[in-house]
Amino acid sequence: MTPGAGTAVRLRVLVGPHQGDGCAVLDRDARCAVVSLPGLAGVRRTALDAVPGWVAACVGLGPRPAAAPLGTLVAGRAEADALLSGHPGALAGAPAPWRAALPTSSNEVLAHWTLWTAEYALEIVDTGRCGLWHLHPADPALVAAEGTIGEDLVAIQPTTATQVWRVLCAVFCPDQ
Amino acid sequence: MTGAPFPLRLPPRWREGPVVDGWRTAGPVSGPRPRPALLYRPVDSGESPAPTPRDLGDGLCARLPGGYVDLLVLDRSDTACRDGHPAHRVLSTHLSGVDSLTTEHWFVAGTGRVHLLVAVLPTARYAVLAPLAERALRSFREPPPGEAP
Repeated sequence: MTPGAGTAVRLRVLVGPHQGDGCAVLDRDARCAVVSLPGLAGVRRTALDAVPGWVAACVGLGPRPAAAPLGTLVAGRAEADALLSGHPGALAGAPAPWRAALPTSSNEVLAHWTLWTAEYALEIVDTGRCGLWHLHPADPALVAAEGTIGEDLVAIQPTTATQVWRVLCAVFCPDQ
Repeated sequence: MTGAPFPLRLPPRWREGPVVDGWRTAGPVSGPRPRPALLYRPVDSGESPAPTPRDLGDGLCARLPGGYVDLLVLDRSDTACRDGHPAHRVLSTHLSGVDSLTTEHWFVAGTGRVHLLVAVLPTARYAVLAPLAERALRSFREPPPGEAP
């Protein structure tokens, strides 16, 4: 592989079976990647289509109950983290359907990880029996509709392992 | 091929293939390998009472890891076909030789029996093929009783 010729996909696992930082440099022409992941010994070269499975294993992606279709909740970064870790004060301020769906303890967070490229980022909180949650920068139009202002607002939406897998495949195996 | 129509609506330029080990098969007529495939067969557990789709999903998840390389069970959920038949799906990935494959198993509750639908997709093209496969699986129409699979 020609150094610098590939796309870099970075991973940060804050909570999970294997915590730490990782990186995959993709060579689409050769359909391979050089990968370094938390929990993986050393730097490894592998086919592009194997990388989604390696990342899924690294972050513990697996079957989870699907949360109810709640739409989108917009919150400041700190509040979002508190909500997804079951902080009682944060939960008290959430709409009732969200209070019923969110975890009630930080012990329920199985994994929290972010995957990003230069163009895209995917942040997932895995709360086990309470399901998977996708965090992303809040849409400015949604923020205006909610009547909130301020910086560093995030949107929280329930998601599924299937949807996460689809994104992983699209990120690591584009244009196939 | 059998005389009965394939019980799934196939994506454009997909055709039914040969029956293999009791499975009816279908796939694209051309394209890069590994090619995606749709598989169908009715389930005859011989048990009474008959297992539910979720029971069969449990059994599959227990068996899969021992039979495949680097297998991960990614997701499970209850779903339904367009005609209302309830189903239980299992999404998994594994290595087959040098290729990674992503597989959807759907156990569909029919009239007096369960049907097994399978979509085997190359992981390299999963993002593009998944919507096609889901439409095909959801289009399942139960063959009439007594019709040879």
